[in-house]
Amino acid sequence: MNQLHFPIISLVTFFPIFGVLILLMIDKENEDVLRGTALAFTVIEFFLSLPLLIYFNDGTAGMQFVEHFPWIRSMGITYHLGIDGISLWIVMLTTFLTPICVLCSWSYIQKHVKEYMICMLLLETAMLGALVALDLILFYVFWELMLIPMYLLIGVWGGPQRVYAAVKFFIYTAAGSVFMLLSILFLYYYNHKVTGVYTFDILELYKLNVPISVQFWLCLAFFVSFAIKVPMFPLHTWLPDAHVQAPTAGSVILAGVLLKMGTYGFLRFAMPLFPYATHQYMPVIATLSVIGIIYGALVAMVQPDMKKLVAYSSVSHLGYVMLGLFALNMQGIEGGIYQMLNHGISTGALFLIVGMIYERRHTRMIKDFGGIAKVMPVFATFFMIATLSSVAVPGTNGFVGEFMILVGAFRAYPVFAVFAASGAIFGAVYMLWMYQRVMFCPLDKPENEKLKDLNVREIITLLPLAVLVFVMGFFPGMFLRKMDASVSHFIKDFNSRYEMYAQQRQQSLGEKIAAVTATPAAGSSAVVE
Amino acid sequence: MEMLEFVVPALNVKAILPQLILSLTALTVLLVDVFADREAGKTSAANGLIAVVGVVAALFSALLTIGMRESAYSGMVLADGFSSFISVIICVVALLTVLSSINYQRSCPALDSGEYYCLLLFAAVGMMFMGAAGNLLLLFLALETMSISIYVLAGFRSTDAKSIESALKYFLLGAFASGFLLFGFALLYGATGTMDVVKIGAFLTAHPEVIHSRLLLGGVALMTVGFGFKMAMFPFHMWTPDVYEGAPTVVTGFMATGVKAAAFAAFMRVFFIALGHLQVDWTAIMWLAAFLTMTIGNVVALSQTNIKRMLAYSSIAHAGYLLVGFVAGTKMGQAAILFYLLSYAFTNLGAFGVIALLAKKDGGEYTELKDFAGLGFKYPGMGLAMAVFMFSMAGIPPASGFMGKFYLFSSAIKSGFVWLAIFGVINSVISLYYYLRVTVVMYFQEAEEEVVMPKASPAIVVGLVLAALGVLQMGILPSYLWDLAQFSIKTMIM
Amino acid sequence: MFDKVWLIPIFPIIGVLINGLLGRRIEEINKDIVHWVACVAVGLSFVLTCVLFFQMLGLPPDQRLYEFTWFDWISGGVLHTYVAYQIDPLSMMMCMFVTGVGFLIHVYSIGYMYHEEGRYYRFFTYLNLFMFSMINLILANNYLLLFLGWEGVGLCSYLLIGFWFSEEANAIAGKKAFITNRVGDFGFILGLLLLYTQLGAHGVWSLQFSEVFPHVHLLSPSMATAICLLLFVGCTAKSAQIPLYVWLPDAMAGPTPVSALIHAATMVTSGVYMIARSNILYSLSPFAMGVVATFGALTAIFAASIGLVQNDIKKVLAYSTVSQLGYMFLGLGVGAFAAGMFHVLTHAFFKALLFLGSGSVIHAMHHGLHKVHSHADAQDMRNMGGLKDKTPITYVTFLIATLAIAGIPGFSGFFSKDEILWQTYAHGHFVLWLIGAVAAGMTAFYMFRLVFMTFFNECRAPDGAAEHLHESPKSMTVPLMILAFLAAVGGYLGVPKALGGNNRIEHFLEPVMGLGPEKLLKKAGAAMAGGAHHLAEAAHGAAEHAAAAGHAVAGHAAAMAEHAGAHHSLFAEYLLMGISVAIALIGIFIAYTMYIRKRELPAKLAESFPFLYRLLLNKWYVDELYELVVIKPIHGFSQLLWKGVDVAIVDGTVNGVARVVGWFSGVIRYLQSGYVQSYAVSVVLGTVVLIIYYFIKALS
Repeated sequence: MNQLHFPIISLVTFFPIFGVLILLMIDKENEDVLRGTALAFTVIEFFLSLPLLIYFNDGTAGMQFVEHFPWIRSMGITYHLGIDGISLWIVMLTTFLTPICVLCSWSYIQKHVKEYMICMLLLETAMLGALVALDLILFYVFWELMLIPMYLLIGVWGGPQRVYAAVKFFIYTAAGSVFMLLSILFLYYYNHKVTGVYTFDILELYKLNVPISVQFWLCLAFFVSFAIKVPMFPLHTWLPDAHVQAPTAGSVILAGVLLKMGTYGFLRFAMPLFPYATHQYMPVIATLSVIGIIYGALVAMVQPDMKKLVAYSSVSHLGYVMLGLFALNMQGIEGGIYQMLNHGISTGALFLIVGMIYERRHTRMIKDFGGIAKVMPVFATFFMIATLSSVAVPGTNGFVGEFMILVGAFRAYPVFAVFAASGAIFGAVYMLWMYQRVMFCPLDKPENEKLKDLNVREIITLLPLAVLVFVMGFFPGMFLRKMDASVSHFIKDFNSRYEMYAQQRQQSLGEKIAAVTATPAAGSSAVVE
Repeated sequence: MEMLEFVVPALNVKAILPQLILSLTALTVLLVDVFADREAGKTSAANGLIAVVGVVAALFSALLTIGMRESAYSGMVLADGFSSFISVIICVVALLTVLSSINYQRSCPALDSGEYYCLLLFAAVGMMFMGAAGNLLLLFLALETMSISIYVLAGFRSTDAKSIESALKYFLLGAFASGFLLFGFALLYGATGTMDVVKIGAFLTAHPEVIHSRLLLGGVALMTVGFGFKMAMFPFHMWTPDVYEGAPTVVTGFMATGVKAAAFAAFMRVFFIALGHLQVDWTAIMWLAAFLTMTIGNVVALSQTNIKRMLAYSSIAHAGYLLVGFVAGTKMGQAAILFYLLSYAFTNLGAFGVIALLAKKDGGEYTELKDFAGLGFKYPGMGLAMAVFMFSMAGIPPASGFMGKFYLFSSAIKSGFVWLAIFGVINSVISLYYYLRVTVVMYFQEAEEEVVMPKASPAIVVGLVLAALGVLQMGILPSYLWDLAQFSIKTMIM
Repeated sequence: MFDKVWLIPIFPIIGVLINGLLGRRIEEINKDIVHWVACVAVGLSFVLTCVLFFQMLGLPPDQRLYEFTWFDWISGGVLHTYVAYQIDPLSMMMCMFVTGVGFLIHVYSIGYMYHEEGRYYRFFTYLNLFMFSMINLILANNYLLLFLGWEGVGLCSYLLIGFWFSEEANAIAGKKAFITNRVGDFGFILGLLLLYTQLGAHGVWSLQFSEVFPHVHLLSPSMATAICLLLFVGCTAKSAQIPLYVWLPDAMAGPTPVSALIHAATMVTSGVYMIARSNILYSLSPFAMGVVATFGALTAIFAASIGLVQNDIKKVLAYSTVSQLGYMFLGLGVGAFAAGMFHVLTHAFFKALLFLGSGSVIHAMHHGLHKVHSHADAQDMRNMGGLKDKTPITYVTFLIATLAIAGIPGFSGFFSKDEILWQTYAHGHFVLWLIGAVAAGMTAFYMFRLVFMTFFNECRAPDGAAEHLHESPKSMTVPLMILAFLAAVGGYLGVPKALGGNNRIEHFLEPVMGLGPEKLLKKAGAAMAGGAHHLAEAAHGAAEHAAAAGHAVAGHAAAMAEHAGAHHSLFAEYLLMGISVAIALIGIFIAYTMYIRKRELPAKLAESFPFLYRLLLNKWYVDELYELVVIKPIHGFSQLLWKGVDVAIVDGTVNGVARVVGWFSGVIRYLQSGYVQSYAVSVVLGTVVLIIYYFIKALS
């Protein structure tokens, strides 16, 4: 369905590329013009994406604004785009965060401004593409394409260990996704064998009945790939390195959107494609999620580097998201999606904040600070808001997500939910401890005495996030309502297909037992009698 | 016994049009060069430009004849879709090589001579005939035409000991391998009584008892050695790094792509058409060869610091990937090989073109990885091009390398070689490391010493842009070429 | 008019927005606007509350419940929560004193905080935010909104404890408060989840009080116990009970008005409020009630014991608060919910007064010490003395509050505390009563110790600071006087029957608390009977059986009620009252002896029982114990996870794989010798392998 009769998604997805072309024409010495142009494009991009929100039809679970054209006809690969309640908000988050990232790089990025902005715009296109693609190959192309600009962002504009971090990021994620590619191919040929149709269209592949034994392997490949991206324990070690080394905007985008690709991938691809295997993996995923929640929080607690602390907190937060998604009920999944948005906003804000202080002091070590709130009260306020959101105080967005996830998880597996809830304690511990050591206590370092408070640009950067923290905290209905139809359809569809597989399994087991017992049955039954 | 009859075959120009055009161009270059009035120490692009015109003409003729499906010259030449596609690949290879050479000749003035372009074009003719040969004899002649030209080309930097060494090694080992190949042909002839590829196939259909005769199998083994050597298949790959490193950079690129394409073409023609009945037998050993070739290539490439050597190992690895399609053995696998060869031509020649771009006036070259430090930002166009080629080789979308691997591994999975596909993707991940390292050096590191790129000649700029466009075209909109590759395989003369 | 209830929380939040966003500018222009905004906001809330309160009084008792749903909050699937408020006697009573006392303390803060430069507006922003959260907590008609207030007040407490954040101790105290509360909230939220899912299993997907309570009887007894205990974990943190009370004494690092408002009068009682609100739920679980009562009693005596020897004036009051909260829980635990709430009310008056009085003292001390440039501790009672004459209003009001807390008949604390003790005894908990009575004696002792050390004898302030001590400004003393009045007479709201009153508070709260254990059981029995009748249509025989069971339960409940009423005579009540008054007087007498008459006695006692003295002085070493048992191990474990698991194992594996491949690469690379001969050999070897392979194929 395309209610606008206009390829709005393509426009939104590829508009940044247009920006890249314009940027290419600008002389690299004109740094402010470059920055301004990039900002203009990302802001326009955000407004371009608003019709998606405005014309979005809450009532339907199906794909909207659909565009569907053949791409590689002989392989059945199509250019199929669409948005539903699951992807809508993540798309909006992406277009919302990118201008903020450009803005926060204004003075942070001093070398190779042109290339930097080009990378940002390319990244935006890749991320949006991955979110709206409904063809597995199209998705895969965007999925991998995301790696390149991010790799460059970390590697060129990153910290001292940037090369290691960038390469690790790239290889780690690529290593996971190649197996997904194989799994996709296998599914594709299997589908052809069964239906006689060559297609990579997920809406078609959803209908496929994959033999259970095969399903486990295919599902595993998808899971590993997405789990690396999320990242789930124990595949998370690329994340702290990448975050710490990346420039501020890189971290914001990485935390805000890129990690969501993993969780989104689970929801869009892995889970609905393989309901039976997903169901069987549920305990494993839930366990790993809970370990991630607690593990991330505990490790965050002992980090001396602010950015690393926030990075590990991401591991913990994403653990919640995964737990919610795998609760497989309305509260869990909606909470999971909501938490994805929250994480983008609160962790994004935290990275911005760490970046701002780093820009002033060129250190991120917690011990180098103390008492900053005295000289930077505005900064302290924003930092506090982000902290509260991160520790999920009611009234902030974080609470809504966390509570829904806990409700969902508690309904699905109470024991895990209990452990997950304990993560909230550790969350408060590490965030407040950091806040206390950085912002409070005596201002005893002379370098810190002359720190300037935030300037107007920085306030503009943070303000939308801070406002959203509360808007999303008090009025989550605005956001959740748009997901309802899609999520409930997702669950219904998932459950009915799971039932189908379960019955199949029952049947085949029954047949096996019958086959085994058939021959000696006469004799043994006689003995029993 | 058949009467030996001397028949003058009808002159079918169309069947060998691209080859003919190239041969004539080669001669023209040679002639023009004789009359050229040249000041000492100055180079001109005249030879190169003539070659470009010839190659482009050949390319068009190859494209025009792509719908042909006929056996010409008593079955000596098979002018079918397959040979046309190979001709297209070879023309692309030749074109990009010539365009690079025009720039490269200021570092290596010897290249600015009629002989160079002449040899290059003749080598290309040989390659094309390898793709079109319907007879083992012609195949061998074509192979030697190609090889001998390249032996010479490899040693063209006559002042450089490494170049000489490279040529000599290549010659010695090449001759060695050719011997195996020829002996293999002989055994095949002994077993089947014919040199004609199509007829061998027909003979084996008629006489299944011959299929597992020692004579035939011995021939198959020896031919595998001969082709394997040219393709740089494990364990016949050892020459590759040394030769690639020493040869003039543009020649290296030419070898890495053209020779590989031609060797694969011939290999496929012989094995699928003539020896199709033995597919079950050679699949297992080729499976192993594919696995070892890509693994050895990739793993050893990891520890290289010289970019030419690194690309040499990478080319071994790519031979391994191509063999995956070969193992798959289906029409799709074969089409995937063709597609990959073309993609690889664009990618690899692009990469070597960038290295050639950096060649110094005094004849030296920047071939150590560290020489590339910081160049990404200093020369953004060049950096971007190199990055595109590296990502393509690594198989990252939307570059053509991704699509190429996609088709190859698809075909493997379709044929049930899931494990080979798995090893294939694991290898791509390993390869990521060294391809990324090029971008790491270019973009993430500061230059240690000042590397100054001489002003690029328009020819090479055109060449690199073409290569990059080719890479992106095949990556983003592969449909047309993929259909063409499939068509080529379908119209192969059986 | 009831539908304007949402304005009550709105006024303070408007104050927050004005002062929070523009406060810095406003403060630069005119400091007074800041406190005007804040005080008016709270004042309006108070006025509106009063209006609604009296409107509600106009209704017959059984109609005193009004729910107002403002907007949809968190909803998804079967989860529906609303931002919705409810007006009933309990919420209105709480709201009355919260906004009232809150308003007084806002006014008091003007004088106390006026000298704060550059962050005056922040103080009032936080205070208003606190009022907003607290009002939400009280007025919420569901558990989730209550939880919003619950955490919100915790947050404000954190912010206000750390208000003078440049002192490390303050910052740490704030963090400690927040984290301890988080531990409690962990329990609370699990309680909510359990309640929600358990009721949901019976088709009641709701957290709304008016839907939850009529259905709690559906819960199995063990589940009800579990839910109650989990919710109580939340209370132990918020209302500072054993084992999570540790944050409250440290919280005294905050400005004194904060201590008065948050850490004495309002926030810390929210746990009591929550249990009182959930009385129907708790009544289902005698075990949980027992736990509440036991923890309450233990906390009461434990905290009192620490209070005996503290020298910091606010620390004494802090432990006293912990101890008094213990009483409240004791009351709740024995089923005297109304008595517990009554004590909340009186405690709010006298404890707020005590804190504000101590604030006035500290204010004076600060001023005096500042004048003579002394760095002596302004809160240490050993530096005080003789303030009776310097700060007369403070003294008098303080004394009234002390009499109230000590349980001297006629003052408010007497009525409420005695009601609790009497109910404890009446419900058959003799040991708990004894503990409570002893703690009452201790209370009287340490409070009078405080009064004597502060206001009596000679002034011990160093460097002649004594001359500079004087009474606080009007904005501070007027609230003191108002509170003193309330502390003195507030008890008459709930004079028990035994003393000729009619237990007005209890009657007032009846619509909420009416469902005591007895009535609830009746109701459950009736429900069972009703359900049984329903079933009867389907299965006759079984229904009769069930109906019989239902009636039996109802009958048992009636018997219990009778039992409670008849067993204890009026005489016993007088006797107990007499005993507790006597104990209080003994406590006062001992304090008088030790701190007025024989002032060398305390030192002697400390010398003769050094271990006990140090134990009490160091608060039973509980903080140290937690550090050793909880914090250190977790920290160490985290370090291990980071350095051991993350860096060594996980990353080690990843990098290890890379290294192995690299090493392998280096090894193979040496096969590349550069000699043509060796290359030829490899070709030959390869050929041999191929030939062998094909020949084997040929054989097979």
